Amino acid sequence: MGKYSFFKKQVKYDFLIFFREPLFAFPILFIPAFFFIVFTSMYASYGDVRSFQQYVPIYSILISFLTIFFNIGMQSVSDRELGVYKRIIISPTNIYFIVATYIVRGVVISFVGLIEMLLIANLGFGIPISDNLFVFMLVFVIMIGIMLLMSLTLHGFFKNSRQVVPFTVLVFQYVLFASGLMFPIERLSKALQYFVFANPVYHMDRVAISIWENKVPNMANILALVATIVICILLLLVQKNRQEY
Amino acid sequence: MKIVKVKNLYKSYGSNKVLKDVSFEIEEGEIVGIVGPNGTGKTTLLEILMTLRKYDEGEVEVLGATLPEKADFVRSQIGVIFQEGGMYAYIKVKEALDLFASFYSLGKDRIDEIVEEFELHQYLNVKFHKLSGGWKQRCLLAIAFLHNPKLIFLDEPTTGLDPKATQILWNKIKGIKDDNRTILLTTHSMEEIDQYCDRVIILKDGMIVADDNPENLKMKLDKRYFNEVYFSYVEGV
Repeated sequence: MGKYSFFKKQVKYDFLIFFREPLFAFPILFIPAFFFIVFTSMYASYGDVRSFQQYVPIYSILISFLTIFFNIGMQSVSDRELGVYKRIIISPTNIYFIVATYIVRGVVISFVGLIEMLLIANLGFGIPISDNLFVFMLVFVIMIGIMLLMSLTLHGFFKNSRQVVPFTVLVFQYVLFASGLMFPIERLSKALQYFVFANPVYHMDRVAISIWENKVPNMANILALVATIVICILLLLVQKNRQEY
Repeated sequence: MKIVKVKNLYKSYGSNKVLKDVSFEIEEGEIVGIVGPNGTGKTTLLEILMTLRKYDEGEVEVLGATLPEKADFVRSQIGVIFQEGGMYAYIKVKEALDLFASFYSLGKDRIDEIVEEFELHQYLNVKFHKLSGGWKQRCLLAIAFLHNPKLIFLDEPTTGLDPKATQILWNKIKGIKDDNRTILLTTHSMEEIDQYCDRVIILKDGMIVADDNPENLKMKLDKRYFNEVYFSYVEGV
């Protein structure tokens, strides 16, 4: 057996556990797809469905958000609460392997979500796939990385599931209603637009849409994401100083 | 052979001094119980020895290795049961054994031996969250024992178990001890200390107030039951 062959098993069981948790795999992989189909069908009956194509990157990012923020973030808290971190750290592995399993799951499930959206959009509704798909996928990986950084940083402040559930539900509502997913931002009042601009997922959506449409992303969106990364790294350093193992 | 050596150990959380000048040694093959009121530093002490916490002052040596420098070596040699359990809720027993065996590069033969030894056959396909408290602890003990550790830490292993499950678990622990393994545990059960431990360390306000064989302590204080000894030291009754 290789020195790190245990990591393959960690990844394997990480996926098995993910698919066994009743409240995670189904909502993450099916509910966004269901809403995408419903909204696209509605849109198709009013006009040209091709203009709906910007929702392919938005819904892909939503699946990524659900996987990384909702599922992995909450699991990281419950694993800590159940002593799983401590138990695993005491074995000849370390915390970085646990984070690595989260990265593998986050990337794989996010890409499954992206492929799901591409197939529904293209085969189901004839929505064209971006000419810039390869670059879009690279940018999508960066978005996954930022999302993971945000998720582990913010969930790192919580000690138990009881505390984290209201927070995660609140953030989910915020992302849902203040990222351009449900309503066009331009139709919101000026005051509400500030809430949208403070939302990193909104900036991820804008950058992803620009890449999808083969346009240069807006610098303000990129800077907002850079600021998000810097803030998360600073918060992680604060947490690391408090951590004992 | 000394398995654990602790000398003048101090540990604080902010301004709260949790351990103050704690010193003791543990010989190979001993079962040592650490008792004391809640918040007196039992779990902190155990977690320092398990390499999970840093300490402020003093010297700590586990299995001949100095902590925290040789934490990796110590981690590979110890077995642990935590108060919280420390297992994924949705993993099956056989998968948990497989996962933890892989951490120590152990093969299927060792898993089969452990399944046999801890009589886990009928629960191999059961998810961890569906096991009763007693079977959970038995599985955790089996996992802790997979890599044949010389030193086993048990943090309140029988909390929440019914008397029958407690007795079965202790029979297993005693079986392990018969192989000359050292066991260090925390518990709130004075009966368990009296019945099973070779030595007991009583902590009060982060300091050791007694460290001896339970029988010796009973004789010394002229008490019939160990819980009377405990209250004498902890509450001065």
